[in-house]
Amino acid sequence: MFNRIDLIHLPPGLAAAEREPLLRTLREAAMQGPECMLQPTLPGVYNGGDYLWRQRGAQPPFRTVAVQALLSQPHRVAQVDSVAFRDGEEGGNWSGPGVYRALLLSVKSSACADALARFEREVLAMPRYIPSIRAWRLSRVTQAAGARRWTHVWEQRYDELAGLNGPYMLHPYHWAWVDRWFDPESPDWIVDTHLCHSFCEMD
Amino acid sequence: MSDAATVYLIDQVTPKPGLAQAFVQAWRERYVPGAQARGMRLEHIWVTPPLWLEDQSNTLTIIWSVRGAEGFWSMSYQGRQDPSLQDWWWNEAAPLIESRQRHIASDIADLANLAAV
Repeated sequence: MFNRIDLIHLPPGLAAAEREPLLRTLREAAMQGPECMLQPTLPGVYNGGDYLWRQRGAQPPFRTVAVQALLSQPHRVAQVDSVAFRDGEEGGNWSGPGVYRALLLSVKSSACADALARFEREVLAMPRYIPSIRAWRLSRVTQAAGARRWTHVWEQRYDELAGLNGPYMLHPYHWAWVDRWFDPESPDWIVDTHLCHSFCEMD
Repeated sequence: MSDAATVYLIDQVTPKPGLAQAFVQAWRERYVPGAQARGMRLEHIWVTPPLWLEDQSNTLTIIWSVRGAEGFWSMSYQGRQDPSLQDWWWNEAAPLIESRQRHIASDIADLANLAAV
């Protein structure tokens, strides 16, 4: 399957009158896709944007002319972090309501193939130790835009936000093992410190 | 009570031959004050072998501690906001270092508590 995620950052203090045309156009576009999710992000995101727009289908998702025009208006949209990708390795059960989380990350181009393979393998093993992750998918990005040259997207579904903020963040498999790839103090560091940590409710 | 468990950060640093003392001096000046300000407690600095080698490499084992996952994230988050910390490890210290590793550990008695999240 083809996927696209857009994290839409609005200008601070954007008036409702300016926000509504954007949301209306995005909602109309979202209704046209076979699998679309357009949700406001939840408090606590980090570089996660104000709206998370996810598209998924048998054909590569694209932006309509109307959407492209709106997203290009700096008085309505401050920035968009975008990734397009084919399904990576995944598991668990994506059906059902809960909290959807996407982490956009950028592996440094200097990272060697062996380190990259170990990083991906260790990230994919997180659900084995952290059962609050109900579904997961780690994918390599084929097209990226925004603050960084995003290389990967790490998606998960939780039954509730507490599963992300609690077990996911506090389990030692995360902070005492996998995190070294993200930590500029570690000699194993390969991931740019600028991340997009975004999450929203999913139906 | 997983947040009460002591978590140890173990830096194993092998400076280039004859540069161990120079590394320690620079590390004390450039790294230690910031680390302590981020909540890291310096527990031990061990030197192997226990004398300064002149034409061979010593290995330093530096033990820091923080309190639980919260202490780790607080320390780490503050560090990632500080470009001078990256500069220290990857530009200033790197020419003095032959190899280094960082391990994160806890007492075996604390494993269950740390995983009970």
